[in-house]
Amino acid sequence: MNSLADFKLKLPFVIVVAHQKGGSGKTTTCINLSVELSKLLNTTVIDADSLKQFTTFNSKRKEPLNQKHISTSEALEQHLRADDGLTIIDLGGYDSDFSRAALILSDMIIIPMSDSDNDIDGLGEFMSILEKTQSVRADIKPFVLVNRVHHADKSTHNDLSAFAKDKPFEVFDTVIRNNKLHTKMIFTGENVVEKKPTSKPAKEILSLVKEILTKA
Amino acid sequence: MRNKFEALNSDRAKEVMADSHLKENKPTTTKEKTKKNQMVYGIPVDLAAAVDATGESLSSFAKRAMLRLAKEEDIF
Repeated sequence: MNSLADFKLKLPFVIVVAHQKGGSGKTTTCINLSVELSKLLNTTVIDADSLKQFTTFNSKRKEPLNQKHISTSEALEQHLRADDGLTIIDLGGYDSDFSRAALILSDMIIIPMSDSDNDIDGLGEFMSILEKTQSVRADIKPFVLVNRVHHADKSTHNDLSAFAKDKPFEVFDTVIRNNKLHTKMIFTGENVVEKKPTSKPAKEILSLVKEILTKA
Repeated sequence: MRNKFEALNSDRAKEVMADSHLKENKPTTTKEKTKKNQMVYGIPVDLAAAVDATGESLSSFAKRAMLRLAKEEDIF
């Protein structure tokens, strides 16, 4: 990977991983990104999902990532005012005043979604929240991440990119495809790159990291 | 451009946050804790302590009956 100086991302920076529906891969995305971005940047992770799966994952790590337990918008504001690094927030699939505060305070929103009807429905609902959030801060950058699709799927990314043309979000070029390496990370404490650095899922995650650093 | 913290504290942000489906679980304040602690099975702490001090073993039903009488007599 290029040196950090080659990329656009400037600290402090806040990434929120969010989607209205459960099962879209928010925590999996958060785990994969947190591990990789922690290698490059001073990173803090906030597990705001009530399932606390990121917290379980982190507890299994030999060297846990820097994690903070924050559940109110006041505490989040306080943390971000003091922090000069990267903060990654794993938001649960709910709509609360805390989740909206997190969206308002974010610099980049990553919305993982598969091609399931459930996720597509959820994106519609989430878009209305995004529009409200952008009415507070127009400079927030939401990106949809095509996630958990079949290894041969081509249409989901093309369809979403066409759909996004007049919408308040962009679509990442990187596509994360279904692979068993993404499962059981929570119980092993390793992300896909640590599990198998030369695998396809690892390459996809590294490509996503590069894209985030470039598009931030 | 205003910064994100100014944006979060703006009237528009407050409207957007108030419009969400769920409200935050605010940490319990000292005042709320005090209020909770005032009652033991529906009996004020003062009464429960006063009964305990007598050394008598009373059921919560008996304590509630005492509370009712005490209220009628304007003691509590």
